[in-house]
Amino acid sequence: MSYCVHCGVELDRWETKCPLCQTPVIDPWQDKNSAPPSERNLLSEQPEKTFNKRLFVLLVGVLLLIPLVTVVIINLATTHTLTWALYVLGSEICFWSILVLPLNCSGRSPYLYVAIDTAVVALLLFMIYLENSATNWFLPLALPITLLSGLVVSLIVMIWRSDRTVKLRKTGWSVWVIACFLIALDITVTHYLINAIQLTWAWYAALPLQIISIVLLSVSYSARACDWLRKNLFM
Amino acid sequence: MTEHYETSPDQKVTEDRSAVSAVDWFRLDNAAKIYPPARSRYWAPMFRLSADLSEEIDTDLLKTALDHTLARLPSFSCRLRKGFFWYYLERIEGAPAILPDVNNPMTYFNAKDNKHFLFRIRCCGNRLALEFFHAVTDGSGGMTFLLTLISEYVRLRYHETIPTSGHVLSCSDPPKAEEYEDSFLKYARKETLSRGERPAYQPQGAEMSPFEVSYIYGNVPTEALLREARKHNATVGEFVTAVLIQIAAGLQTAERSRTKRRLPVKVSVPVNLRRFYPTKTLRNFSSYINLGIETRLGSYSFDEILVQVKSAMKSQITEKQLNARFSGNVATERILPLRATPLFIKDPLLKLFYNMQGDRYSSLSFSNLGRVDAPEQLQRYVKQLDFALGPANRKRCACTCVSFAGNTRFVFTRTFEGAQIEREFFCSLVKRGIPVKVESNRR
Repeated sequence: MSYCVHCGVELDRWETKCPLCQTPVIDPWQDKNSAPPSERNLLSEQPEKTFNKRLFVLLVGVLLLIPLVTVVIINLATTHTLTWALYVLGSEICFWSILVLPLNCSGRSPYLYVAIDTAVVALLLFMIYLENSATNWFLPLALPITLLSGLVVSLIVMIWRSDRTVKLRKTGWSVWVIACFLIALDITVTHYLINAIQLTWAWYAALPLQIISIVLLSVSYSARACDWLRKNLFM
Repeated sequence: MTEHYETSPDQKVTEDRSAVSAVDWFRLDNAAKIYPPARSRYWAPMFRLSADLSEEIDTDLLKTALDHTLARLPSFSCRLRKGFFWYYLERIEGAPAILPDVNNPMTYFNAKDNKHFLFRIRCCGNRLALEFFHAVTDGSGGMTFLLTLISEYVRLRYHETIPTSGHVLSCSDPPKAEEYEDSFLKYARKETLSRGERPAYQPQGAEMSPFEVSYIYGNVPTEALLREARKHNATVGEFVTAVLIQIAAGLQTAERSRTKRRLPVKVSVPVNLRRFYPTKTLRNFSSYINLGIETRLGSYSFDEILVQVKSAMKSQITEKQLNARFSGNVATERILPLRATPLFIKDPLLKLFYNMQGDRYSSLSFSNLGRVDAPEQLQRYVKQLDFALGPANRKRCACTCVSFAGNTRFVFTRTFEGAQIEREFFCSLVKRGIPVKVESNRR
């Protein structure tokens, strides 16, 4: 029999450390080869996962098909051609690829999903453009903004997937990327509207964000500043 | 002998059994009403009674013994059903499958996986364990089921008939209607007493991962524990409660920062109401009291805590006090608007109430089943008994104890890291000269 040198309690023969203080049991006379009885060698129980992802994806697919088929029939019956039903088709493809697809293909690279989502959104906008092509808005405006958004999301994903960086620094870089995105967005929109490369409203949004990101990044790179913040702002 | 037994008593009791079987559903008792809404998809409030037998268990014979025991105690053969206004229990046929024992019992319960039975039976080597959903019975009723099952198993295996006494019932007797009566309703009176209490201090610690739980078992000679309690002119229950309060108060002092106010330290102690009423019910019939100290008034010595506990127990564990308390719960159950509210509205509200209020008024719980007096013939086949509470749905530590055959077994259930409470408890017993043998489920 073994006793814990700290707690003074006798320990069960099969304990390798004291359950009360975690002190290891060192008993040179204990037979280490003998196996514990079955009631001391039990497995842990966990419920089986009952969420069936494939079934869920199938159900959502069927649920999306019902309104789609309905609007296609109505559209064809009223105008004899597919017009506004294409919007529903595009929206449903977007919904499916953004929310449902990642559920069914867990473990794949998130950049793949971002690329697919960007392509699907571009496709939806292109469908809308085909139906409403009075002005040329797709190539100079919609496509660059969609690609920019895809790029920004990929960059933020890359920042947050990095294991070595602290959260504060990740937030700082993410805010900086968003500020850059707003500047690029403003330039794209202004270029489309007045055919000139200049900043209009982005100053008001991007400047505070840039300041915030600089503060966050400087704090994150300074151990003293981090300590000061932790000490004074803990909740 | 076995064959003779299996046929003749059945014939003898057919009439009585059919009378009881005619009742194919019954309402939940007053204490059980909160448990079905409180449970979640994987978790339910449960407790476990287990026995280590002298030899390895023959599962085929155990199955037969289980069938006989369920026929004798039909209130355990039931499933939970939803009515329009309340949950109810419905009788079902058959028996639950005998499952292998696990290292983390009671962390997971879903009746659907158990043929809808509300208790689970586990067997491993010479250990037999029963895990009950609290809506079916309480510790005393569960112990009756366990000892009746073991005595029936012993009869089948060793051909030795165990005389009936206390928790041991004979499977050849007919089931009795009084064994599944709702004693709360029967004995409730008009006068009620509310529990106006302040929330209590809750021990802190990092939460364990889901389906993980710590069970620390402590084996103590009953005689030594009794001697120590008597030295303080107290019962074992009073003595252990005082020790637990002292430990929790110490934890609060150690944890307390300037910004936190001092909360009372209280231990919740269930009280078996069968002591006060001539009832034979095997369903829930227990109440609880919260005993503790107001730590904001200053620090307390052990003797001061013990004086408080003893006086509180003497004043609160009386028939009148306890009756007024459970009568209050029964009166709430009888409020017409509450009764008339459909279950789909009541269910989430009761769950919310349980989650917000359930364990706020006590720091720990200490459930003492006391000394289990089994017939001498049965004690030859049972080496030890264990009683453990399942993990709560929030971070919580519970202590249980049961005395059998000269040994008292303490079990601490905990779902947060850090064995401070257990360590201080068992070390305090060792310092008082009481030998303690410890084992755990996390090696």
